Amino acid sequence: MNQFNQQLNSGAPNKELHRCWQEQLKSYKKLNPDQANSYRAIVVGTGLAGASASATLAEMGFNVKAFSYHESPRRAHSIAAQGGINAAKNYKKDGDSTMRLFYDTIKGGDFRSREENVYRLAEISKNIIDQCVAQGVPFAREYSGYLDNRSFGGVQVSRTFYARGQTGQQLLLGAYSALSRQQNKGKVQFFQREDMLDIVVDNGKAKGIIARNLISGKVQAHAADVVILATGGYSNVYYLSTNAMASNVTANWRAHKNGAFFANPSFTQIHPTCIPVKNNFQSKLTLMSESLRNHGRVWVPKKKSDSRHPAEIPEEERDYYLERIYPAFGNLVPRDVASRRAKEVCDEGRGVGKTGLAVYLDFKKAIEDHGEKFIKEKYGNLFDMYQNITNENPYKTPMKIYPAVHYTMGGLWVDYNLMTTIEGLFSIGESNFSDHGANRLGASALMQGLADGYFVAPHSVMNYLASNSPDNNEKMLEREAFAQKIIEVEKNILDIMNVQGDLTVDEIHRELGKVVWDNIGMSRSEKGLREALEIIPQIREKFNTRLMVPGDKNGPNPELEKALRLKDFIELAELMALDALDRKESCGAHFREEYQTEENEAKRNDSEYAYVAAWEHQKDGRPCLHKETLRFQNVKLKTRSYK
Amino acid sequence: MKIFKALNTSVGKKIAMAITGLSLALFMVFHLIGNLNLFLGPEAFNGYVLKLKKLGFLIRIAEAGLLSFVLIHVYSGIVLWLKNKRAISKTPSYSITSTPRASRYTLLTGSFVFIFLVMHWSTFWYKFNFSKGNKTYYEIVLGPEVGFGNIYYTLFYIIAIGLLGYHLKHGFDSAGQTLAIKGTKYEKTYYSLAAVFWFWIPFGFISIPVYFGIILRLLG
Amino acid sequence: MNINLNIWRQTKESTAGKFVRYRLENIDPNISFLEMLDILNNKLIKEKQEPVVFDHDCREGICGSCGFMINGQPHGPQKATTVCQLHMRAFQNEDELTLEPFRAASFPVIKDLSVDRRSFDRIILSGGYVDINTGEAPEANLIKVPKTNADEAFLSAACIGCGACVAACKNSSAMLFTSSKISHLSLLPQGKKEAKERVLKMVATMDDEGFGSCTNTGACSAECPKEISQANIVRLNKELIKSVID
Repeated sequence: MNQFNQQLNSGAPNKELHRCWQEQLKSYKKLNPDQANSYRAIVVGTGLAGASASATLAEMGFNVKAFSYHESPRRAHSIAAQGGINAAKNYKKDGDSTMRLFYDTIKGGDFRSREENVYRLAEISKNIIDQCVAQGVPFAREYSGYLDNRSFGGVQVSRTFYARGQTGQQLLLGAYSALSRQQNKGKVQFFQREDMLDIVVDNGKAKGIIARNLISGKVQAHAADVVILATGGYSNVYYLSTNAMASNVTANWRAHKNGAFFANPSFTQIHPTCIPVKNNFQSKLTLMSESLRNHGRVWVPKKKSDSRHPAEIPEEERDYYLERIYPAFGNLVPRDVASRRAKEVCDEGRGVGKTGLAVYLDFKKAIEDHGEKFIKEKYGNLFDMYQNITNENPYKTPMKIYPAVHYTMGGLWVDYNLMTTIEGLFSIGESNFSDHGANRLGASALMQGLADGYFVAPHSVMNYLASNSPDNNEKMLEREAFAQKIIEVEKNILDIMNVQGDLTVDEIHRELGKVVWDNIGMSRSEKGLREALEIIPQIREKFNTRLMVPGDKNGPNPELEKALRLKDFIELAELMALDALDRKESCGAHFREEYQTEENEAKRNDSEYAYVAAWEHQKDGRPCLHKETLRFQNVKLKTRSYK
Repeated sequence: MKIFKALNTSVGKKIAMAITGLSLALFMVFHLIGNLNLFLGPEAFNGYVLKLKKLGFLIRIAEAGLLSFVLIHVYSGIVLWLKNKRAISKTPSYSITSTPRASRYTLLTGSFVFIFLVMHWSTFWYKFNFSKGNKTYYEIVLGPEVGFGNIYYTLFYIIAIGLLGYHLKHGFDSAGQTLAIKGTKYEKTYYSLAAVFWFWIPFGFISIPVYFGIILRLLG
Repeated sequence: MNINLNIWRQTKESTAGKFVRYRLENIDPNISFLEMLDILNNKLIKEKQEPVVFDHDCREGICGSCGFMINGQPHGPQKATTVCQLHMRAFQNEDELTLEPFRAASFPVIKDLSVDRRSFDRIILSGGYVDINTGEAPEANLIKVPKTNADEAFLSAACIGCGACVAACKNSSAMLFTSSKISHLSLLPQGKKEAKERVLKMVATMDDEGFGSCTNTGACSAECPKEISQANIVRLNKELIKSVID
């Protein structure tokens, strides 16, 4: 195969935008519950997307095997989403519509996402709210008894549904309850604490997975007629991120190594309002809901290395840089813009705090204008959380915030049906690349996870299965492809256990994280990316020769789990650098220093880079790039401006 | 049947315990009113007992009812206690936390109260009904044989009633929650009544042995 | 600051465990409790010993994975805080801390401080949901819910299923956990349809799983990191009584 030649096709119907999904649904083949009963589906990951897909597939009659490395679906990291979920319900009658949500999302993603997918997402958003309310999700309500909405993250309408600062938790518990219901009916079999370590492709089709039981250490194959990955994002490649400790790329990476293309790996979102890093032992970063920017004002001292207490810095010596640069949007500019500007002022030496890597988020004016009670009602729990972590009172001194990695827009390449380039392998939720382009808007991750899981994947999976006769699952396990994979996985585990060097997994991971953060983080340059490509192989070498994993592989061994994940993160990091290097433009979260306007804004290059970069794994280790050209027929490509 | 299904659960048994417990506590009020006749002298007391006796088989039915309540209460309590024994880890925890004391000893206080009850029946109740001899009721109660004339018996009675109060303290608290009275508009009334039951009623009972068995004795 | 730790070490459910003493010196009081354990583990690995196994994931106090006893208190001494949100400044220099797993017969020990809480899932499985298929839902605003009910339901639904309530209870009862789900659904019109069966099924499952009975002491709420209130238990009781009466 020649490099750079394959044009990928999304397979979306060539219809008017608003008819695409309806037409596609109509064209899908169907199976009645009796027919469906003879098929088995494997769903890996039981967060929002995985749990909702498992439940819905089971309702349709399929037999679902759901896998999670957690003890319960309720532990998935979807639970930590704070802000809310968007839906174009237009309850506030403020002129919202499917078209408007579609446009905001496409624009927010800096015109690097597929029109048809985004429109479908906007369309389905309404059904999600209906479904969740019917399940008993306790969304916030107005005194009238109707659902409440708020405005969120860089949009000018109120379309965000929320449950205090715990929307993700409530939605996940809703999906978990739907899953439990099907489990009780015997349609879903839940495999807890099973870590997927590889995928089995037989005759070109995904037919199963290899998983390691995290308690017994036993490695086993599981077979099915279709495999759906709902395994989340890979922010932990940065070591420090707002993701949960166990979030990893392994399932996606294994799919990639078996033939699934990995799209836009360098599109990683940096969230502007996180609690800054304090010290070397820090294990994770904590996000503060971006709703704080509705009332907080971001500033740094005008002077460099100004070590005065914030209260001693007079108004005229403060630089409210977001309000200064973006008079129209002010503190409410999109995440990537706010993050990059924060980095910029810190790089200038105007950062605050001990490390100089923080900016102030000040509520003084809001407290003066609206009173402390008002602020307490709105943000009380966030303020408490901040105080608990930092031991500082944000009612008195301004909060210190700094950007942190939060979400990965990149992921497995999928077509309009959410199927990867491996037949019978689907990818849903954050694990695919599909809907957010180069930057995700606030309150739309939950929306995508549930849209994929409840409303899209179940139908497209049924369509796929209807054209394939059910395989005998028990006999399948005896096939060569399965036996071979088990041997590979066990060898990999043994290799890792046998190094017995002198560095812990965390030590190597921290080193990797630093390289990725410094070079493939908020701003990237050719020099930095080339440097990363030199250092990462050295880190891999360290991993192969100096890693120390104690204990036994046949039993609970968290160090082994982490090591297996780190190994894939190291390989992914290289691909991220390659991808960022290839994209010689700035767009959304991907900011290349060489490509910026005179005002330091991202400079897109639509004529050359309006494509999805989908990378194919090659045996020789040199990934091959395929492009899916993005066609924009319904929106005009514009330079994002928040001025 | 739903009711059996419900009673089969731990919560059902708690409800059974709450209802029987509260009923028995209510019975104590009538019992106490009767007992207080002792302060009015022998005629009043003996007359009161005779009046009750005239009710004949009605009293027997009431007694059978009370006994079955006691048995249901005790049975449920023991079943739950055994269940709880099995539920806790075989490895004891390093320390126990914020559990109120009264609730930790309900089974112990309950058992003591039960022993007392058995004794109470085998003495007063048995004598009143079957071996009164030529003594009056008043004389039995205050007499040296099984009554407050006996210092050991008196002390035992005081301790038992004291523990019963302690038992009721948690009992009322718990029943308020089990019967879903907490959180309703009756909560305040219920909890003020609870204090009457766990403190003032036992206090009334104890006042009798204290007066007749201790104070009068000390005064000679 | 220096810290002395007595940590429960147990290889698997069937073996006996014991306390092992560790000492950590020069700990920054501003790190989190789990970061302190990370440091200990890093040290143990370097000394070729097995690190302490404990459950944790989000480290934001919401996933419910973490949880063990510190000096006899689930999640340690700070009120309304999961152990991942606890910081070392909550302790004094040279404190002696005893760490042990949540103890209950229904939470068998997996290893060290990690326990198996699948019994909680099985309680939910038996009825902790509304019977509705995907796509069958009516328009969301056709269901009106009074704000007070919605707010109360949210407070009940905020339970993170960590198991601290069971560990705090002298009877290892799961009433607070079970009742929070029953309350959440019984407060909303969506949950009314199956209310009677739900309470009977979930309570029966809770019993079958071997949890103890509730003695209404309130220790669970006192230790709950999400401050789930006793009102939930009252509501469960009410639902059970209602299921029999009408």
